[in-house]
Amino acid sequence: MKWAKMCRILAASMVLPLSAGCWDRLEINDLALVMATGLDEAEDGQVKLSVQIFVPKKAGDTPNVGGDQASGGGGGGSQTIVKEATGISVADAVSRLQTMMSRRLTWEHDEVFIFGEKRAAHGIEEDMDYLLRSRQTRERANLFVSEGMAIDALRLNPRLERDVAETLREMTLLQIGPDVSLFKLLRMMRSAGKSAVLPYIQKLPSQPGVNPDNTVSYITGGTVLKNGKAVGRLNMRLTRGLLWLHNETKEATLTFKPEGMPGSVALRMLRSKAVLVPSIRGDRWSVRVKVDNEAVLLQNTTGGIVTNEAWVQKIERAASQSIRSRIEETVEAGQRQFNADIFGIADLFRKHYPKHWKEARTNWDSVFKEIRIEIDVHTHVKRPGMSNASVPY
Amino acid sequence: MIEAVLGRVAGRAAGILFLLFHLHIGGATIRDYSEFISGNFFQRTPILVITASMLLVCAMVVKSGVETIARCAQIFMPAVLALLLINVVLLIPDMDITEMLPILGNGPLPVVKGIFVVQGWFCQFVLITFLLPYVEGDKANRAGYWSVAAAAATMVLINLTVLFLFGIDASQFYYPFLMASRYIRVADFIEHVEAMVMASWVLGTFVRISLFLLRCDRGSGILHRGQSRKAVRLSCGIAADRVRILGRPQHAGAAELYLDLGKYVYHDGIYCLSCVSRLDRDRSQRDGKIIALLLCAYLI
Amino acid sequence: MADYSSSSIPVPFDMDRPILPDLEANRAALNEVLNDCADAVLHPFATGDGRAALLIYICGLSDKAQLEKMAMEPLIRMSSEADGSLSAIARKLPIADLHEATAIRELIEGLFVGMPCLLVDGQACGLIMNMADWEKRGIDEPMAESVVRGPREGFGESLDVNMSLMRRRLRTPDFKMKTMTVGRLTRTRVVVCYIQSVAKDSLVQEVLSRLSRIDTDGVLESANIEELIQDSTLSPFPQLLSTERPDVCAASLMEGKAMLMIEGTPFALIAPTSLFALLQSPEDYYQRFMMGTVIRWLRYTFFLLALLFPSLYVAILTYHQEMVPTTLLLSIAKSREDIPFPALVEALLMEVSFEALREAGVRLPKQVGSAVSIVGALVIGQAATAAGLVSPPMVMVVALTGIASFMIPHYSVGISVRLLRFPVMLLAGFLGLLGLMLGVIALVIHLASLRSFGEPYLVFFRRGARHAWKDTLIRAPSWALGERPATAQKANADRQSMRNRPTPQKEGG
Repeated sequence: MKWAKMCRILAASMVLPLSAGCWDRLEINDLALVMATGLDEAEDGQVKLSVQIFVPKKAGDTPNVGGDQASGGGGGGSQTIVKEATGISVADAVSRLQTMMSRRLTWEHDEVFIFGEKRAAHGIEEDMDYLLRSRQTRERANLFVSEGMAIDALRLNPRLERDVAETLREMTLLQIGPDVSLFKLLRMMRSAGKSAVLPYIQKLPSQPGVNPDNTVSYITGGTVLKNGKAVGRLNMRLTRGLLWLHNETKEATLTFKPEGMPGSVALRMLRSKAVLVPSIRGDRWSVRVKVDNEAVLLQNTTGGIVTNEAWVQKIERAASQSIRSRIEETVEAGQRQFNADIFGIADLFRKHYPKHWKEARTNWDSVFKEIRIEIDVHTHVKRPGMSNASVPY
Repeated sequence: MIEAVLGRVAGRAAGILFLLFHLHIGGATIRDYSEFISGNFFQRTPILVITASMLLVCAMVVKSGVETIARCAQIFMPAVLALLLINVVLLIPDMDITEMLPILGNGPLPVVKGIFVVQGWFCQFVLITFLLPYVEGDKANRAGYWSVAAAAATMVLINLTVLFLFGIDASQFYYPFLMASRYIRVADFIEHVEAMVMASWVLGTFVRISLFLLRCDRGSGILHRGQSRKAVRLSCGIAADRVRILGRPQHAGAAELYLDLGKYVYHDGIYCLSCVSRLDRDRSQRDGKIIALLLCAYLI
Repeated sequence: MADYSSSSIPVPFDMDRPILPDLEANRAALNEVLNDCADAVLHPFATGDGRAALLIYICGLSDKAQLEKMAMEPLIRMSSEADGSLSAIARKLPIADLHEATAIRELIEGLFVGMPCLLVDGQACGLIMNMADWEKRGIDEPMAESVVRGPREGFGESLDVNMSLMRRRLRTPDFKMKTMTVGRLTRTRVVVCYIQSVAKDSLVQEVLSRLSRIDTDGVLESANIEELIQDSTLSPFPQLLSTERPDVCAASLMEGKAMLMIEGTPFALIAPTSLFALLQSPEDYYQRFMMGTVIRWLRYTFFLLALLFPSLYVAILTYHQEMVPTTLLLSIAKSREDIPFPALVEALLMEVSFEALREAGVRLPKQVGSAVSIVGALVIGQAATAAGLVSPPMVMVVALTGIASFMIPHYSVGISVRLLRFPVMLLAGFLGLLGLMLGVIALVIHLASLRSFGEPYLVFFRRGARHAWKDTLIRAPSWALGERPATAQKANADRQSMRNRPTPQKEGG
């Protein structure tokens, strides 16, 4: 009796999985892995979505020479394809794109999103809604703004890394430009300042005699976004100044010409820490920025002797001055030129002076203009490098 | 026992109310779990499969007895804790303690409001009193204190992690800790590990639901004076029903709410009927009939 | 020799017939019973004082030379005595182990254990002499459980030798051995061993009662007995530990467990057992404690791996591709591009072939066996990959799983794990990581509800919480394991003095 019942239950439970078909099952060969996404402005405010898809061909297969959108280079060339679709919104474009694909698109490994210049100027908030709401897109993905069209950036064929996305990601890790993830951007845009800086990428001119597509995009500066729209560019120098304020300077090399000395000095920053301290005295809002650096001497062409205490102190002062001026230029650009709180100062005041901030948040722009930002930089040269000699020998 | 206190009729009524209360909470728990798993990991799988699989496993363990549940909990607790801690530790590089500021920037009122929400969770701790008959000796007291303390500590840890990571924008997400887990990237290698959070949900929910089923089982035992394995399945069915009832979008309008209540009452009516009819029909027949009744009600 | 025989030989002969004083009648009776038993010898002779005597023995089971020298010779040379009774004769014989019997049954039973019997005309009883000796395998290193450091003695098929091996290790009268006979046709002797002051009374009683309930034709191996006395037959996990090593048995006995030795098989059974005991190897205790701990942890990890690795692979690749690091995913995608099967089917295929290979390897003769299994596995894996049937990562997964299952010290658990892999794989292929977790939960539920002779299978945090993890999570140094585990009597919990920690004198006073 009991056995018969068990057999029935067993049979029923066997039928269930076989008939259902494992709804969420997706073989890897049924996936189109998106490595990078580009969002460009199309006519009538529509968005042109371009994706770079990984093509898993075994090494040794002849790459697809036909097809204008396949970017297969010579042996060992890239294994990616760029496809595009246009729609009234990103979601629409995605669905259209899927109709052109034999495999299911998946953004789970997409760590790079590139906005075209025009799209950035149009405004990226709508696109961001899709990116944040969709389950597949990663909040940790990095965002970039590219010169011209994003799709052109995707079509490039880096020779060192696997693809464009990897290149840009690694560059961001080296802290060459600002590291803005999707979530970080959300935070910046939701703060009272509603401003952000995205890294700006341009195509590196390729070597002569080489396929012009075999090159990379690299970070050349930043784009200032206000209310989700691009309002201007920062050159590399200004962007670096911004990085100093954000404590994102891992690979900083500072080269400067100290006064009264021939030649130049290059210092490599080991550790730098910027502390921003807000204060409100009466009606005056100010932020005191204190930057402490530890550096190593990298190149010295001034003829100064590194064991000379006075010389070292001079160098340190000159370095601090140099850094200070960079930061001041950036602050100037942020406050005066763009009137965009790209430094996250709104959040600073929210944390330390909540009541004042609550009153000021509605017209933060005008308040921001009046904030005094004082910058105080200290540099300490720790080590003179490996060599003891000094130029000229 | 309740009958002894309140007399026969009132006791039974109180027993039924107690049971319904449990069913509601249990159904809500199952619903939460299914929505979480389905929405975040298995979008195309029907919710029923996710619910049914969990209920099946919980019914298995309830059948085996309290000690089995306790042992399983003993084994799974370190696992859940470890998963949680790994998540937190891997996020330390991304945390920013200044997100804690401003402290009491808006006065103490928001904190008090928040306490009420959390209170609802902690209130459920009183439900472990039904386990008292199974605890030997004096351990109940200490165990209770330790449990509450541990739960509180875990909640604090998780909330702080989310706060330090996301700041005031944590409210942008439905599942902040899951988002935090998705945010982990360590050494370019450990990334996309949100399945750890799913694992801790599954294990934790398993223990919760099995305890809830145990309560239902024992609770309905009070009503019809004798436990039966079918009672457990019955509870399963009812709980699954609850899921269907509550299977409305999360922001249901008032009209839908009444519809909910109506169905609620209807289903409970069926259950009460079944309890009553249980008294005079043949045992095996009646269980089959009840299940059939429930299935009909389910399909309507 | 106490005798707990529980069943009777289904022979239509009344075995309880007493031995009659008439030798001819006895002889007729014995002839009837031992009809067609070619190896039974009934040897009539005359004693020194003129009486007829009958010597019955099974040739091959008794030491014939001894028999002739110690039994026949004194009898033949015996002169007339005043007291010609068998007991008087018995006192004169130079045999160290003999007793009298009054029923044919005892004669027969003694006969088939290698004890020749002597019947003398006019005596209503027989003399049963213990001269059992037969060809047996010498004491060998246990084949399935070898260690790097530790004794290399293993049990044999002879119960007496095994008993001596145990006695040599537990030289105390506290170490009790109770004999039983089980099996209608095989009349197998089973010895229940335990240490009286340490083992729980209830446990011993339970073991004995379960054994006495066995009523079956034959018991050839300890596995037969195991199946008949275990708590749950449907469970894939063994509830008794089977081992060939006397040192393992001795250690378990000292923890309060009971042991069964069965004649005819070198595998002894230990009850009760727990999952953690099944995952222990004597090697843990013979090496230094840190190595023991690390190896133990490795073993636990690989135990989980053996169970879950293919399922993890299938689940992650089919449902949770986002979990794989991008670079790895891309290379897996490349290698899976031309594979015709979905991941689950590929996994099942490889696992099944691997199991077949392993099982085949067990049966092959030793010289061919190892070569075939290694080469076979490599070649098959390589060829399958080259043919495009499976992907290289899958071969890696299967290989690692195979290695992991070899790490489990006891074959019975290893087999269970290997078998349980498949349902978990199916679940993982059906519901991804959720399915895997549900499978794991179901397994844990089963283990948590399993009991071995009353002791829970997952004894982990039992009485003496600190002790339990000292021997399961880590292998604490022996001077720290002062308490016996919960399987022993509560009253006798201390097993060593707490001052055992070595504190060598420092140099220079």
